[in-house]
Amino acid sequence: MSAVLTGTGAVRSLLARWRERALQIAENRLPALTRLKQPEALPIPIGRRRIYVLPTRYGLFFATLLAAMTLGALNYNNNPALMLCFLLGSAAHTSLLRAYLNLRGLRLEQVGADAVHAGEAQTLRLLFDAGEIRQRRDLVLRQGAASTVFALAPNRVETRLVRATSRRGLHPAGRIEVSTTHPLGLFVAWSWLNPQASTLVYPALETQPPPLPGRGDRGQPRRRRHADEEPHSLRDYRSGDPLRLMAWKRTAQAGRLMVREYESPAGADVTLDWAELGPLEAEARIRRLARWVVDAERESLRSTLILPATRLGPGSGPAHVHACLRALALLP
Amino acid sequence: MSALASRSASVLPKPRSSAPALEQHVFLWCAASIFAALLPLAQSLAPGFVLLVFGIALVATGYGWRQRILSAWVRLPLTLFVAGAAFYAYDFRFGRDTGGALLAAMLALKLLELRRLRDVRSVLSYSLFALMAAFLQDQSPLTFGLALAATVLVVATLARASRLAPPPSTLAMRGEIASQLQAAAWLLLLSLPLAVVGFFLFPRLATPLWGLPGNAGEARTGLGNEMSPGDMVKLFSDESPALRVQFFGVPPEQSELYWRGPVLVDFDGRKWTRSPRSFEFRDDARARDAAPELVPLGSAVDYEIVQEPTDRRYLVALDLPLAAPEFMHMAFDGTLYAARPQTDLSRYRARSVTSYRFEPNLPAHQRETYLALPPGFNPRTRALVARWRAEDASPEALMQRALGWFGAEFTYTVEPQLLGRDSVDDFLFNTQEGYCEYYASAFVVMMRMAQVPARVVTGYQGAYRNTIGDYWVVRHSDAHAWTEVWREDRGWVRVDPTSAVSPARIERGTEALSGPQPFWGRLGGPLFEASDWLQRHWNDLVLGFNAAQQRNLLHIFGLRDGSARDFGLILGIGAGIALAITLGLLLRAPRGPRDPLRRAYAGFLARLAHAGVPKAAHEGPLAYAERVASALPESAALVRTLSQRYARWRYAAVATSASESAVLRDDLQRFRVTRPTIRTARGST
Repeated sequence: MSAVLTGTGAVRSLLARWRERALQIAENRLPALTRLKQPEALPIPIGRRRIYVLPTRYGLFFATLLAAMTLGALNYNNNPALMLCFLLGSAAHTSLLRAYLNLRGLRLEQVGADAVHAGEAQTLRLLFDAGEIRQRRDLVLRQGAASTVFALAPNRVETRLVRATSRRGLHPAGRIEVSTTHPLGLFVAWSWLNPQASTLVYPALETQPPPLPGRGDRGQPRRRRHADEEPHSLRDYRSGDPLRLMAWKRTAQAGRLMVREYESPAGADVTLDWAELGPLEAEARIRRLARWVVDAERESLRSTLILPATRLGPGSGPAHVHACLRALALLP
Repeated sequence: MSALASRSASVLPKPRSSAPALEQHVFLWCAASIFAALLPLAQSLAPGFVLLVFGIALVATGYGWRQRILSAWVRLPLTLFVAGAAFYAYDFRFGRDTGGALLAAMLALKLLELRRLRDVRSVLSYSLFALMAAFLQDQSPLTFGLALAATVLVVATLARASRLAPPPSTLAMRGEIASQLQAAAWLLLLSLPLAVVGFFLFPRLATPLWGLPGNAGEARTGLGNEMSPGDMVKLFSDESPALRVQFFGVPPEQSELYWRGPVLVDFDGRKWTRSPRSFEFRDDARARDAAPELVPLGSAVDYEIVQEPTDRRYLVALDLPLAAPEFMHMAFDGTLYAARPQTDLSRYRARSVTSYRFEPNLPAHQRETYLALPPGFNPRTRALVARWRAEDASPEALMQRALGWFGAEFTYTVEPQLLGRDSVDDFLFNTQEGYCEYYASAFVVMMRMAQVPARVVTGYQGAYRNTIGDYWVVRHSDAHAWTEVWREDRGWVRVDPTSAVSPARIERGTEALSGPQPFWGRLGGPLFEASDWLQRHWNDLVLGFNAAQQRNLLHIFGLRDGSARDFGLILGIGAGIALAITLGLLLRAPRGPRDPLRRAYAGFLARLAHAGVPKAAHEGPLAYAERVASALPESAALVRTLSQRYARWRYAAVATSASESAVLRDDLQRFRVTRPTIRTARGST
């Protein structure tokens, strides 16, 4: 039994290799086959020349059944049955036209993605425009293992395709298949989209990092308050607030207890240096630095990132984090 | 927009092994389709079995609605039981109807096992097959109408089942059903041109590749190859047409309309059967004797008959046909036979003479056949005939005496008493009542006892003239049996004993037998005529279209040969035209908004776009009006006011009356772009 299984496995891999080889030969001989493998600039209209239509498995079964029925009806010269057979065959043909028209005229306008870290699921956002035919239904987007179903009723719809990421850096959008089996499921019409858009994937974060460098022995950032810092927000007193935060002058003016809350502990700086990471290898360094950047932002510290080629900072806030992570992601 | 996107876009990771389970709505659609597909088939199945099948289908629907599954331990014995019931209903014989019954049973049982999209698709495909099985049994317009409705339902269910996500708009349940059915009907309508082209121009088979299996159940009503007392009573209550005849020229009198069917020769004391020589045909080269002579004595009548399917080989013709039409043979006894049982409509033209001399020279051994009687039966009749012969031996006298006796003392009834072993004795001396079968049988027996060769002829007598369409309908209730007696030098002479008993039956047909009709019966006359006329046209146009008629159709297009190339050419042209129609309908630009005021505004926008200032998608009416004002200053004021009024109607929360809307609509429709005035060289205008 196991011999049979290994035998079929070997046969299958052999067939796969032959198929690859045949595909290579075909692409060498017929450059038209590779026409759609290159990325294209947006917007990508789906026109007549890039839609492929084939019957589905159910369509083939239906064709066989219809052929048998037609042969029987022709043999017995049973005219109502023959009329029924021709009507069904013609309806199948009309559904082919409908499937084709469901795709034709569709236009991919925009592709984008929110930034995620490597290893998380990335949501690719695609903006489609409906073109002349406003109602398009049962459209399926597929890339590898990810797939989604969408329909276009108003003119434009943004669809989300969720796919897994494993590496950091710039990921091209890749080849996406848009297909439909509307209306009866007898024929499948599909087309390939290869937009020239790239998405950025941040490096994966290290899971158990050491604490941020530049912290004191107490394990807390030293907080110093200067005279020229920006305080602030003013809010009502809540029980449990430390007395040193009370704003006495304002309290006297307002008539109720007010507390001054300081926004960012200024002057707390963290320097994240590539060179000071010891014997770690490059990928581990990148992961640790990425985690530190995120942690620094979470604790509202100002960070400075020093990489072999660039120096970013000091700064804080989402823009700075994005710039740091981007630099880390694009490191060779 | 993004809210809609988030509603309509869902992530469906699809591992290959499993598929999503079936929705309840899809199951109900499926159940409705199966019921609709079972209806045409149920017409031709045994009634008890039909009840069983529908019962199972209802139970299965109930289970599926609750989304509960019947255990396999129950399903398997149920399947075997139902299959056994199908065989039992048809006496354990295989036939076309047994197959149809099994198919219906399997369809109903499949309802219990619908769990995946794959199951839905297979059950819908087999229900289409069930429609075809229904057509093999019955081709009436009613079946066709039911099948068409079932097809629409099946296509709608297929579309609904293949749908991956709910449609973006929110429709109520009833609206959804209506829109699905409408979409399916529209799809089939779009496909109609190509279907019609294929139906008429796809090459037909002139001879079938294999024969139609017979029915295992009851044979069709109609004349059989044998006759026993009581056989024809079933036919008398069947008002369905057996033949439709069109005469070319003057039709004969009602009393001369004898339609010849099988001729019965051998008597076993109760039953008359056909001679084994029936299938030796006159034009058969290996005929043992010379073919019997047929000398016409009067003018011939031309006619065309369309005979309903009989599942037997005989073909009815007016007494007596001169020659067999194409593809048929004439037997020695003057009946027409085809090579195969007639399971379909038969249409043929024939020529008959009503006065003739048929077989004036009867060879000796055949004479014996026509005088043969089983020994030991009917002694009293034998004694009576011997007494009559003693008084006057001539055949004419004997015939006159017998017929006179019938006319004087016998009555015509379709519900006579039963007869015993000596059936003729009982009939002649005890009951003295009966219908055509009895009289014909008794008369032939008496003639044979008197050494006069005689035989029974079955067929139809009379016809009903349909004023709509001017043709004659012969119904099954016109079935009749009469006799032929052989006279020296005159050949076979037709003698109808029933005319002695009930002359009205022969003069005016079966209607003379029934009493005055009630009111609704009189109303039924025109209704029958109209429906039969429709049925006849259905037969002619739809059912009768075969290979020969297709050749005629090609002749119309000027193609004489009928070669493959011609067929291909005409089929290609026809298909091209049909596809052009379909594509034209499919690619119609979608209609504009339904509201008349919005349509008027759309026209207003179209005119401005034509003038060179198209509205961008992001512009509202007022912003657009400002842009137009700067581009076309002559129309600026008008465009501004119209746009303001429209924006007020469309977007402001102020209710406008219907008259105001109508005025606005008219103004929008009347709007035309003012052409810039041309300054002449002489000065401004």
